[in-house]
Amino acid sequence: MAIAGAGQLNLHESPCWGSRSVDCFEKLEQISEGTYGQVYMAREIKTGEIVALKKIRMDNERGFPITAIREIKILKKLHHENVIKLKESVTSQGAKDEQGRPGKCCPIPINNLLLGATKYSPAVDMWSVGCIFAELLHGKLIFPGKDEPEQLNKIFELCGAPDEVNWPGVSKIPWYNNFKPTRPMKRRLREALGNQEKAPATATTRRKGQTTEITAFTASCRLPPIQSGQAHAQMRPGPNPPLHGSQPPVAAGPGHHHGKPRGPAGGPGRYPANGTNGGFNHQNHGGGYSSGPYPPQGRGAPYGSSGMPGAGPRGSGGSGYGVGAPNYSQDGPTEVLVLDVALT
Amino acid sequence: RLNAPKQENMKEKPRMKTISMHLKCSLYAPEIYNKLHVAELVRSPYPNFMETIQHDITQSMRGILVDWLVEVSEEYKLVPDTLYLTVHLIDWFLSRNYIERQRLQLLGITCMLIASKYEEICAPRVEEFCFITDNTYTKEEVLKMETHVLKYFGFQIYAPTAKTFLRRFLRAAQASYKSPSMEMEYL
Repeated sequence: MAIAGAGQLNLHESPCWGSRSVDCFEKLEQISEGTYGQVYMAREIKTGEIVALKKIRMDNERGFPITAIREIKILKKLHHENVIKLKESVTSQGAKDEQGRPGKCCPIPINNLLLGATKYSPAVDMWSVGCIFAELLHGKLIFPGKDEPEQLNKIFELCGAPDEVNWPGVSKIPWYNNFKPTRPMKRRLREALGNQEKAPATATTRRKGQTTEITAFTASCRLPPIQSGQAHAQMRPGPNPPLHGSQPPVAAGPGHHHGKPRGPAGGPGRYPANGTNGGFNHQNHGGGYSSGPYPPQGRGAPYGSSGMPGAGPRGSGGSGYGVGAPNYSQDGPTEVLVLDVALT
Repeated sequence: RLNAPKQENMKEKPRMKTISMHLKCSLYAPEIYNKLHVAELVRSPYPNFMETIQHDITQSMRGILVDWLVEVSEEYKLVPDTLYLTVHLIDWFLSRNYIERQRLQLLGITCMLIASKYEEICAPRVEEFCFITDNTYTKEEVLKMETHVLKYFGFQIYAPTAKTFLRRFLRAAQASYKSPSMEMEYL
């Protein structure tokens, strides 16, 4: 394998990245269970060094979770005394660990999207920021739904139920009628987050108002990104401001999805079972791939269809982001991250 | 601020306009643009990898693979960014890693799997990528290849593509964004 040339990123900081087995480590105890995998305290057998092992479960449907890819990428780049250092990644085979653990929901799904809206904006990111702030104040997940209907209900309980008054147009959103609450619910976010005795008082008082504003239902009521950066000195706008909007979105990202309904990729396909050529006939481009259907595709309409209460946009019934008991393969190769951490 | 707009005003245009007003980050535009240029340079494939690294596959095989992936992306209605990133990942991998022709298509679908995870709201499942190759490769092979490719990339899978810059230029030229199909012709 070639080594990066001058001026190139060296992608192989550690020569043994991913080449070692988790058997090089002895698990001492489980420290915690994160949203995407268990974390263990472990000792490297050879050196005696104490590390944290984070197990990443491979999603059997979609392979390496994108969230884990991002986590690894970012951890590899961060070098700071307050940020855990990613030492290496090791592989485990045939792990048969806890099956059917209770699902944990990532707090990010947004009520707009859960209700099937296909037109959204950077305001959804502000919602996510608000959720994270709220969790920091709260000390735990604020919308810990097992599935999407439950999660929506938790959102409604805390933020109040959406109606035409606080969210004009909501009744026209595809899944509103499937998910609308049966009883009126009032917004009680301020009360819920205002009683955090553990959180530093200053942080609570300063930020709870902001959380309230950020997690407002509609884009127009939510605090816009730039404003939240400017109005509160303790929040730095950050080096990478949102790239959508009138300013040319110079990077790819959610921006190009705006307003584009992403229906199911249904319809007959064009790629036939390609006989003995193994599906890749170099000499006969086009001819081999131009007739015949796909099998029925399992992709649900991402955010566009209706009439499926319980079948959330991100895939219900096991796969997807923390919905229900994840359908993770427990016996395939598993990635394990080795984290350098002072376990005191 | 649109506090209680009428229903028709909730349609995309006025709403997007309002939002974009809050996002005038023109201050950062040159910086972002420079960063993209640097990223493009740092992550650009070697132009001559076909002669230096690859001894089994040829330019035309790569071409056929890319043409096929264009069809796959249309079939699954993937956004153009996915396709562009896929091709970039393929070239990047091929720049430094020898591959046999039997595994070229495996690399292709694996890169598309990774790119679609990055770009798509709802990425196709691994089985779907196996199926379009007439199950030439098993799910296990794809997953193994994915891990291999990701490790080679150092888990850094995004790179600016022609599409990224085209989008930037169209906006910078104040072009109306009403004819996105124009960009599609670009590949």
